[in-house]
This record gives sequence, structure tokens and C-alpha cells, in this order.
Amino acid sequence: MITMKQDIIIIGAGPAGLSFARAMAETGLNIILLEKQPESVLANPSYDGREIALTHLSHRIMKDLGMWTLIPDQYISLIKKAKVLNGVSPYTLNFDHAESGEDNLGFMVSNQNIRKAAYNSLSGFKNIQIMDKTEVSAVGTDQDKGWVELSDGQRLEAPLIVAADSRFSATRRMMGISTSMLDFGRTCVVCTMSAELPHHETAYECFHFGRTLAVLPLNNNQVSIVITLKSEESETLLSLSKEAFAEDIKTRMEERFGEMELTSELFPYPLVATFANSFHKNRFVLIGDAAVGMHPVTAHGFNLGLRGAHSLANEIKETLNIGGDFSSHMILERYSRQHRRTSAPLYHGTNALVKLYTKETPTAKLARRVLLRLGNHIAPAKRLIMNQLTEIKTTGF
Amino acid sequence: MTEFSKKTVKDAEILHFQKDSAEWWDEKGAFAPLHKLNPVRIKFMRDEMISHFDLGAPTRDILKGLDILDIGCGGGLVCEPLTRLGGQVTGIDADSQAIDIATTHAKTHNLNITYTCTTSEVLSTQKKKYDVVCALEILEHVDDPQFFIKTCLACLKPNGLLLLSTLNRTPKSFLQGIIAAEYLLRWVPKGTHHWSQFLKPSELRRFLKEEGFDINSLKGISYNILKKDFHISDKDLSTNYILSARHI
Repeated sequence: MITMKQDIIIIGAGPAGLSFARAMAETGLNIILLEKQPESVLANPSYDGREIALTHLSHRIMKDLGMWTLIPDQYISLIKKAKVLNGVSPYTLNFDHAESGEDNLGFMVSNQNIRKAAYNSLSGFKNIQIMDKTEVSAVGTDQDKGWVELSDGQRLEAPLIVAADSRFSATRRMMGISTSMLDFGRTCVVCTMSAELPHHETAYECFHFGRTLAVLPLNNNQVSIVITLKSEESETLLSLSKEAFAEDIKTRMEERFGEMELTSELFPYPLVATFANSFHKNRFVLIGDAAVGMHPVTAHGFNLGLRGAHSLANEIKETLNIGGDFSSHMILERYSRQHRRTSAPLYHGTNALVKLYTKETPTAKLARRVLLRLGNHIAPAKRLIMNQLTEIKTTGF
Repeated sequence: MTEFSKKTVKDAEILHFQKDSAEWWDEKGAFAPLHKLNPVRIKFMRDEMISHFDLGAPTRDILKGLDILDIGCGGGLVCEPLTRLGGQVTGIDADSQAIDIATTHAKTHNLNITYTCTTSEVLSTQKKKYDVVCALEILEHVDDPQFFIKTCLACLKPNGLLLLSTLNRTPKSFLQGIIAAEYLLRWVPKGTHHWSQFLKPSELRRFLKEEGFDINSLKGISYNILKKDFHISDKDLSTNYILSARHI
């Protein structure tokens, strides 16, 4: 007879792992989260420069999970309009919340505050335990159980193992799940800046000069800056003085924000997109970036991770309600099918867009101009793009 | 009780299922369709028990306090979920290999289920009675369905609930249940079903009425080829159907 203290082992207490744990909390199942970092870091994560554009669907899920109320209002900024700019052309693709029927297109919350809220949302649930400073050295599954070996020699068993250990998931590799990776050879640099002129809660996505530059509105007339550029150029950018950097962004944005000032350090991240070739294998399932690691340009990453975690939790809860085995192949297969269907078009679409917008060939340039105009003038296309970005009408969870 | 000395189970049927006994819990094996069908029929059964015994809003141990008998339990596909939902479950099957598999599987999963290799006609003569008796996908395999139903009802407590599911005898069930499932899709081994043994709901109702029972709720179970999933249907009773019956 196997006696297991845990029902579910979650590897990785990042936003996806924590959200999944929270979504399962009320079932009373015993859940253990294994995390490399000390718990004090989870409770008080440091600022990492990442400001996440949350969709309406994410907003609804986070409200359901009791995470939203844990984010103080002053840390939630709204996006009411969005403009897509192509090169130096004055022509823009415009989105306005008024066309969407909602008060805003999306919400801006820092990754720091999301992580904090996800962590705090677990307080009071005695069935959820975090084992911090823990490294997984081996993982495996058999017919009746999954098991994890920790670097200190401990062994844990549970009917189900959920991996949420980043897009470079080590346990995914240990389980022999292959993964498609796309290294863009580019770097993403993020920071916050203050702007002299009001941003009118407008997000800008500018594609030009082989770079992409996103300027996202934050409260107190701050903006979040996201630059993607060739990795060899990022060194130069990172070595600029604060003043020179501010001057560069000001010019690129054609001074529409007046004077700008850098208010955080510059955080570089290498750009690698990943897509696991299977999201599950006997009693082992991938969520968050371990399943799909998106390019950040269309801001789908955390939204998609949250949606996946939520849909896996829903499959499990439905199974529990009819006394089923929540670790069965059928349940994991159903989650996997659903999540692949949601994420595959976004993943490939985003990668295609990135290629289109970083190429400087005449055809790419033409295609960009055409796309922008089509987007503006064909109502269904525009609605489609808008819903993709905002998930206002997405109810499929 | 001489009439219960009759036999409900065909030896050939036992042999047929014994071949695949080891595969009961293999979700991709010989019993894959049953694994797919299971969530749908368990949900129906749970809801019927909730409404019949007035159990209130579903909780994770909603069936607590109910004595449940599953006739023709096989590897325990129905017994295990009903046990997890709090039921006190007994599973019987004429196939001793299936009972062995079921017993081992329940033990490995820390579930307390009573498994016995016996038949409904033997149990029906015993004192012990049950709140709920289920016989799922069994009627199409027994020799004398009318007699079989009699033995099922004899295992019930007064005010007990009977849950049955089987295949209808229609042209569609011949195409889907035999031609498609056994020959085209190879979902179930050839020779699993004999169409002439399938029962129409009206025939079942007649058997029940003769014993003072009637159908309480009757639903179809349809298969969606695109979604690759079974679902409960109010209209389509033409292939699989499931019902609850109680004393009039």
C-alpha cells in the first residue's frame, strides 16, 4: 500500500505554480510547492522591471481566486487606448476601449505585485505547504504514483506532479518531454520612466529600425518601457548613461511625452520562446511557461499561464465532484488538448508577427503597412485583434 | 426461492471478458470506451442519488451513509468513484480475475471497497439489502434480462434506487455499437456485444412494472465524434441509455 502525504506536488512557486495552488486550495487536497528560493523572497519579491498587461479574462480569474483584492489600487494602472506604429510612418492602428464596451482595454500590474498577491492568496490554507530552498534532482512516475527526489536526498510521492519551473523547465527534460525552442537572438530590455506630458492611458507599440519599442501607461504618469533588439546591440544600450537613454527614448517616441526620465534600472532578458511538444505524460503535467514560454511582444505570457493553470484546476475539480481519479490520463489529456488549442495560434502568431516586424526587407515593410490598414478598416479583423489582446469576450474557462 | 436458482450469467460472457481483465485500468486499453463513458454515467448516478435521497448540494462526500451494490463491477471503474464520494460500496462480478484486479487496485489507492466474486441471484437471497443497486452495461450480457432485473430489485432496501444502463436495440445501435465500435473503430473487442440481446427502454419498463417499479429518469448517452466525448442527451436514446427506477 502506498501512503502519500500529498495529493499534488507542484514544482516551482512562480506566478503559475502559486495561482494553480490557489485555484486548488478550496478542494482540501494536500498540496506541496517545491521552490528553490527562500520563502521570504516569495513573500517580498524584488522589482524585476516587468510590468504585465493583464487581460479582462485574467482579471476575472484573479478576482475569482481572491488575488485581485490583494493588489492595492494604486498599483493597478489601466490601458484605455492602444496605438500600433510602423516605422516612421505617421499612420497608426488604433484601439479604443470605447469600441470594446469596457472601461479599459487591459490592466497593468507589475510582476512583483502579481507574485506577491499570488503568494499572499495562499495564506490561511492549511492544506497548502511551501517547501522552500528546495532543489529537485530527479522526477519520475509509474502506474500508481509520481515521485520527486530532492537534492538533500528526500523523496516525495503524490498521484500527480505539476511542473511550473519556467520555460527552461529541468523536470520537463527529466521526464523526456521534448520542447520546440526559438531563440530570437534578441534581448528584451525593460525599465520604467516618468513622462513630462500625460500618456492618456495609451499603450504604444512601435515597430521600427529592427527594434520594437513598447510604451505602456502606468499610474502617476510613469510608463513601462519594453525594448527588444539584437543582442549585440543591447550591450550598447545597457551601457548608455541614464540621460542618454532617456534622450534616445524621447526621440524615438517623437517627443510625444515631452521630457522623460529613467526611474528604474535597466533589466535585460534574453528572448527565447518555447513550446513543449506535449503538455503531459503519465501523472506529470506542465503549466505556465513550462508549457508555453511566449515572446513578450503581444503580452500573452502570464495571461496564458494563468488561463492554463485555471483550466487544469477546473478539470481536476470537476473530476473530484464525481469521485474520479484526478491524475488520470483522461483529465490531463483534456487539459492539454484545450490549452494547446488556446496557445498554439497565439504562440505561432506572435512569432510570425515578431519576424515580420523585425525584418527590414521591402516585402516585410509592405506587409506591415497593409496589415495596419487592414486592421483599422476591416471591423471583424479589428474586433478579432482586440479580443485577442484584451480577452474581453473570452469565456472559455 | 427456487426461482433464483436460475443463472443470470453466461459462461461464454465471463470467458470473453476474462481475456482482457488485466487491462481494466488501462485508459488506452480494451476498456478505453468505458473510461470515457465513466464521468458521464457517474454524474448521472450521483445526481439521481442526490435527488432520490434528498442529499442536498453536492459535496465531495455526498454519498456518505449509502450502501451501494454494483453488479458486474468488472475492475471497479464505478465502485471507486462512488467510494471516493463517500458511498459504502460492494462490487460483485462473476469473473474472478476482474475481482482480483479490482481488489488490488482499490488497495493501491487506499479505497475501502468490498469485492466478491458472485452473482446477483446469489446475493438476492441474502439478508443484506442496499440503498442503491447499479448494473451498468450489464443487461446486454445476461441470458434472461427480466430475471436479472428481478434479482437486482431483490437486493434493494424498501425505498431503494435502481440504476441501469445498457444499449438500445435500434438500427443506429447496430451501426454504432456493433459495426463501428467492434469492427471499424476497434474500440471494444469483436464479439463484445450481441445486438439481438439489446433491450428497448419500453421492454425494460415492462419488466420493472411487473415488479411494482417504474422508471424515474431516463436519458440517452450520445457520442460526439468531433469532441471525442460522451454526453447526456435528453432526446437521443437510440444507442446508449441510462435510467433510474424506484418503487411505484
